Amino acid sequence: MTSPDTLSESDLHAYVDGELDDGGLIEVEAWLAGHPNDAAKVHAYQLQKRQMHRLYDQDADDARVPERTFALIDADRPSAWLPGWRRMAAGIVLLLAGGLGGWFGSGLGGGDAPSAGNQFVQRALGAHVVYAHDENRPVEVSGGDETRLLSWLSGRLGHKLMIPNLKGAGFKLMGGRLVADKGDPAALFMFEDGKARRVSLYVRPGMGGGNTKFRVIAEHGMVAFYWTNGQLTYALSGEMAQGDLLSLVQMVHDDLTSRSS
Amino acid sequence: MDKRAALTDALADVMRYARALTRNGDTAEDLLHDCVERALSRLHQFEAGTNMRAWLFTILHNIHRQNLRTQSRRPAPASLTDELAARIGQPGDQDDRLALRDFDRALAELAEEQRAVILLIGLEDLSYAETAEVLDIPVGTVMSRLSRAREKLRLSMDGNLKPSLRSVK
Repeated sequence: MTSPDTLSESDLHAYVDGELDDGGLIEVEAWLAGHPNDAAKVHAYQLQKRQMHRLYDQDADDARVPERTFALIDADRPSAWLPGWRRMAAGIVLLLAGGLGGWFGSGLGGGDAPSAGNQFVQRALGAHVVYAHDENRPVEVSGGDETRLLSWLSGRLGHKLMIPNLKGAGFKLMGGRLVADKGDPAALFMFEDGKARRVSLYVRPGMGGGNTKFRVIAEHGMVAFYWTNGQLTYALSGEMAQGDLLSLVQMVHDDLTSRSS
Repeated sequence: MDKRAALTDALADVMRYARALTRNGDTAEDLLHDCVERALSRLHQFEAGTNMRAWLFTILHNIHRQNLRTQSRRPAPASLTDELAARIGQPGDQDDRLALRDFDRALAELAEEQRAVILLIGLEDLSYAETAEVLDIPVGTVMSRLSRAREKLRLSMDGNLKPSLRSVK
């Protein structure tokens, strides 16, 4: 077998990295047999590869991947999308669960408690059912004195609250009340339209996570969406079609966002 | 395989690469997270049957480049060095452990663009062509960076193996 006269540096690397075809392989092996310096280089390069694997292979472990990153993928599953509402707003994730049993929440904003959002929205829906159906006293303080209502509830929650304007959709503020949300003060604002349909906005200080995410649960004709901006967590509940409530959610979100920025 | 499943399967390797490249656990986690977020939004662009890992590495490098451009200073690369030092401190042959520690130090001293090439090819088993695509550079540049990086590592390891020769002078 004849040995080539010269061999380039890149041939040595291509040999180490398995980039050569059979002919090239034979050529390089023949060369290395007669050139111990190059053979030593090749040996060193091969050792480098093994050492990189010894150093880093244990990082190739799912346990190293943060939970929040897996949650991203879970949240993106096609079955999780509400058809047609895909692009409700840029950067907003909208999930649909077919009922409380079908909830697959992975935490508010990828927070540490996987069911925190689930529990929150259930409490909001529960409060809506209790107060919206109360014929006598659905609110504690009427919406006629919005300033007093806001300063009272903002003080109790320790956050500057805002009441969204839903008049464009025909909903007027009835008023609000203080509610206990898992031992923390939360605010509930009730709205009503001309057909006596009521929706309530349930607000509490943020529960971790900073991303705005819209999620929805639906049960027995009741629907609730919730989202968070990190500072405050909101749920809007009502007894109406998801699409109708969703346009209200969008109105609330846009109004609050535009006024807070 | 379902694209989403392929993406999930590739995460651990992308994590390994992000950590080895940036040598900073927090930076690597953020990079991986942003990479996955962008990949999900472009999953329809991924061609089934092509290399999912290479596709993710490409996205990761694009984000990494943007981050470096907008950051006034790079995060300190120290955090992983300590962790790796502890890792190397596991039982084993003493000389061997020292060699591994020196090797890691030499890797850390490489320019990041050289480390990227040597990691993609040597650790992640990408072809030269795939590496060129990931880093958006010509194959010739991949080869020259690879060759320079490996020689630098080899020489620094050689130096460590012969301390007596250096101290004689």
